[in-house]
Amino acid sequence: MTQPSKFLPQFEKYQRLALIIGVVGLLISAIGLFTNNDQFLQSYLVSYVFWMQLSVGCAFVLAIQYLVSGRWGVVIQRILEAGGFTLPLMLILIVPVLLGLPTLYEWARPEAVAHDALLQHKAPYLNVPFFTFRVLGYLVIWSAIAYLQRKWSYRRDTLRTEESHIRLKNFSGPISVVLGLTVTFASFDLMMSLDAQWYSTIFGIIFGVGAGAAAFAFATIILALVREDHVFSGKLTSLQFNDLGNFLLTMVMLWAYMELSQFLIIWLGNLKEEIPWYLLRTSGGWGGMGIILVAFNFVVPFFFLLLRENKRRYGRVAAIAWIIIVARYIELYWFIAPTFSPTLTFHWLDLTLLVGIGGIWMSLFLWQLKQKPLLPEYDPRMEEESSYEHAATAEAV
Amino acid sequence: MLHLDPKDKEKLIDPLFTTGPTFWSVIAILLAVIGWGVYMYVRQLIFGLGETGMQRPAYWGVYMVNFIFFIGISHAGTLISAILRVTGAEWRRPITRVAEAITAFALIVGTLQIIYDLGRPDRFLYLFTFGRMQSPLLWDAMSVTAYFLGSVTYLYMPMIPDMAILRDHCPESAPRWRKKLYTVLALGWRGNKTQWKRLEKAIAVLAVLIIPIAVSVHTIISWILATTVQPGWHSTIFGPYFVVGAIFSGIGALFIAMTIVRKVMGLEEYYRLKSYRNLGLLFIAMTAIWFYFTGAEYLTLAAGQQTAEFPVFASKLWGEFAPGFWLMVVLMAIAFWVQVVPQILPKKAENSFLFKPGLAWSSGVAAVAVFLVMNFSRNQPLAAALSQPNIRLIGWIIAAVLFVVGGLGFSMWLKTRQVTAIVIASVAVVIGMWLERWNIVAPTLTHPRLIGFWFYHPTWTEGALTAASFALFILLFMVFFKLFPAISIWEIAEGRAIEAAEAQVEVALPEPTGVPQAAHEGFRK
Repeated sequence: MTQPSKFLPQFEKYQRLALIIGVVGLLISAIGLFTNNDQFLQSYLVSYVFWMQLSVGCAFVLAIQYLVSGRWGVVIQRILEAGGFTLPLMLILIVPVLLGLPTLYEWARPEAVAHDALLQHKAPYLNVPFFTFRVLGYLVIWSAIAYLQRKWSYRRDTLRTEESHIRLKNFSGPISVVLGLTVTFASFDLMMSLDAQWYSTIFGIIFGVGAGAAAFAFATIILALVREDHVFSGKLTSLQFNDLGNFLLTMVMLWAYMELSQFLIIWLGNLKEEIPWYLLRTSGGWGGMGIILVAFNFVVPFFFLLLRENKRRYGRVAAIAWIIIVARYIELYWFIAPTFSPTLTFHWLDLTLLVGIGGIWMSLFLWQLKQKPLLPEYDPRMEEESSYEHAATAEAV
Repeated sequence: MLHLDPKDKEKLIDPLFTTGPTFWSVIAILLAVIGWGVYMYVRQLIFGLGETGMQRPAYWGVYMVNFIFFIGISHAGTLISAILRVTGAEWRRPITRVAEAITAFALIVGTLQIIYDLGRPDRFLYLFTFGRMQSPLLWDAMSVTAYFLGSVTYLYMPMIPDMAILRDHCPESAPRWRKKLYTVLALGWRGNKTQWKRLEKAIAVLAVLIIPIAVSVHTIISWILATTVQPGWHSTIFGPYFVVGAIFSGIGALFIAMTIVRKVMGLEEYYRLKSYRNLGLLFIAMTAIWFYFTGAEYLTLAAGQQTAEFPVFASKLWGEFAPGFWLMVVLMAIAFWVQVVPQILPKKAENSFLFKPGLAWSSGVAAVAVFLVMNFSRNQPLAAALSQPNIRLIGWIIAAVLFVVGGLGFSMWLKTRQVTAIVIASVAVVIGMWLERWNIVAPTLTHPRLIGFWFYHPTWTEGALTAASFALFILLFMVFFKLFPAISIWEIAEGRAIEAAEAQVEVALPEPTGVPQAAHEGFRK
């Protein structure tokens, strides 16, 4: 058995602190629930989607790192497991959204549907019972996946056999297929259906890539914080931060590619069904926010991460990861909030709910993180890696 | 004189200088097909595009499908080889040359399609003289040109050391022009340290640069379609959808090409199973991603319910384009099946009655029979009975069950034949991807927003030119590999050196403790 993490006291301290902050944040937000119900739900949706995509992004990246063996996967595996294990919490926290459907979604208001032929046409898919069933379904599936990922990983720690690892790897293929499909549909349901007139075939992938980027960024930040743990000695070097930096670079490039595809095709097509979505998001102050988004979700990280020197230093990679996480929140805000307000607005509830849900999320995350040593106790990838491979890939990238 | 392993000389260099009758007869057949194509093209040039099945509003047809298809195939090479080089995958070594050659030739044949498609081929130049920055056609011309130049360079650079080897080892009996050719192409390569360093640096840089160019090529081809507002084309997912499809069909083409090279040239010991297995994993992943993208495309369109989109959508799912659409889906499902199911079938079940060859054969034949009777029966009362929805449904279920039973038995047979399975999957994918492009191009054009329906029937002109294009592709491939080795000799040698070095590292590891050194030594003797 390895000795307990040297960060254990900190984990316990911050776990308690996060819980207190979370509960206080939610209590303050509860005032808003009674004074300004609509605003509460709108702010809640943004904050909820932000933390939900981080959880599911962790589960997804966890599956991917088993499939694509690499030295970067082993060191962030525990962080991703703990991040994914917050999904059951997300299953509980969805309740306010489901109760407030008519406030949030036009298609859930019978009087709006009665006057709109298109909404009537879409009613077999977009109706309250089916929507509730679907969203709960995604969350149940995701929670089950997170539970199984943790269970099989713990089993691998006890059995310490090659088979237990291969089993984990083999299940990651189907798991990533299921996650890919459900995340796509979840983004269609929770976000795209806010404007039921509008649709974009690439939207699910944009959301998925963003969630993956958020998970990579989150794991990088946490890894940089706990880098001095005993278990990492001799195993965690600047090469892993280099790898994570490369992944962040790939993710921001993919994101920019997808966003450009969507924007260019809608802009050139100039169809009256499609452009209102962008018209709304480029006027009334939202346009400025869009520019900030492009700057901090693509331009700054892209040029920063091109330089190897910046990827090798944990402090710099972590800093850029922070920027990507913040930009991710801006993106989701820019996706969701303009539906409810044609001009750029912020409400104190946006902040309290973000912190409230986030506090509870972090508390659960830290509680989960401290259960086991920060490195898996057995992983064939740790033994396999020859020094040659390290040097060769490090030179190549 | 550069060093050359005798085995490499025997397997890779000697065949370049001996040509058998099979080679010439295949060349003759290919030239005949190309000749037919040239004849039909001249006819088209004289009589105009009326010789083809294209007519307003279907002003793009098989040529455009071929164009997208060949450019897609071209992603086999450079993109896959560049990605594998960048990630340092050791198993890439034997396959990069074939992959890069596919790219160069597919780009040549693909670009020719655009010339065929123009009634006045001279107007091709207008693209450059009157090109407009806003037009995706100009972007396309730019990106394809950049990709072609990049790919040819990328094919050529790793060939330089091999050219020097050929220059030094060219047999006396060989024609003089060949020795001269290799001497020129070797660029005075002596294999000293500086040269190696520069070459490897250049290859590494080019590999990184070529990935975004390759992605841009098929993205922009998709934008030629997607930036219109045509129903079925105006879809935001098209860029990545086309890139995924291109890589997917590219891997399929690569598998087919490398298996042919492996068989014909007897290079089994170079193309080891490991390359097949690893590239196969990528192939399975691409199959899943392709299904995801296709699903996202069609399901979102179904949910969008745009009035103009729906007729196009319906024509593919149950209208006049349904056979092509469902054949594509079935082919992709078969590709997925033969890759995945044989791997997960338990070895123990081999003796179960389900996997007996007799059962597999009979149910397969029965499935085909049921399918044929249901769709092509000429017997009046039988056909009338079969047209009832309930009976049709039952018939489809019976055919599907028989098909699955046959497939299961076949999978057991494939379990130990991995290369065969991958080749079957590759053929299915390559045909399926051609059909995919057909399903994208044709239905949209025959269902425009205003003018009425017109079905597009390709004529013999298009058929001949398509056949000639494939023949040209194969011909280029054959001639190229008659002149140059099919495998990068120096990269294989480098791989061997690395393996040897790793083996030595293992020997150098500390001896297990507790065993006295001397005793161990004695034991060994």
